[in-house]
Amino acid sequence: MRPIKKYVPLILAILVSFLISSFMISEVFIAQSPRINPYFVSNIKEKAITAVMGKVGTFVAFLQNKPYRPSGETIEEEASRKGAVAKILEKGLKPVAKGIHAASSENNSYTEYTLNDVEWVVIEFTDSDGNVHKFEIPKGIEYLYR
Amino acid sequence: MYIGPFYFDTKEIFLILAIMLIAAANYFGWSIYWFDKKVLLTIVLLMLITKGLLPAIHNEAFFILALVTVFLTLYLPVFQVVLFYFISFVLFRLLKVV
Repeated sequence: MRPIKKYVPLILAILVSFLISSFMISEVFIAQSPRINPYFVSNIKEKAITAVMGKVGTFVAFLQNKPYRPSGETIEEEASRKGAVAKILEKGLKPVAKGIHAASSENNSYTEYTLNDVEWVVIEFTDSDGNVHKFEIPKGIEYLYR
Repeated sequence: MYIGPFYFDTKEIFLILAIMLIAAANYFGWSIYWFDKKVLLTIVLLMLITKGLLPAIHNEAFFILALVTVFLTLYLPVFQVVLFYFISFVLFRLLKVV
């Protein structure tokens, strides 16, 4: 065997093992120790989905000749929504409950929550299977949830 | 050279010497520039074990991997170096280097 051909698999193996070890140390193991990351599979899945979906979104936008917008809204839809919000804000917000102000106009509504001021009450809901679910909702608007 | 029932070739003797020197440096507090003595000792021990399991015909591949591994201890955490060393052997086997 020629000397160069002899060293190709050796160098390839060293380079690939360096890449694999770098990947494993950052993704499979925790804090450069032999402890395995229990979230390894889900992390990898999420990263792959994010990477693929980002590329797909960009590609679809490219095909439509429009810039990619993560919200999915077109520029016109976003301008229309912002215009509707501005109109509602012009009219002024009315207090609905403690810490909640809201207003609506035509098909749009706008609600502002001041979370520190909101008082919460717990209501119970029993579903068709007899399971009891507990919800925390702002005090004073319980009737909306019944 | 035979020590009891075991045969040691020159490279294995040198590895044992290296282990003795590093252990002495660690014990007496001699400084070894840039290298961490405990990391170096761990790696050389692993090398001695793998060298014992490898036929002498593959000394060249072992030598190159040993050089690269010792060099990498300067830059990488010890666990990554150990991973690198073992993955390299698996790939050597798969690529029929050894």
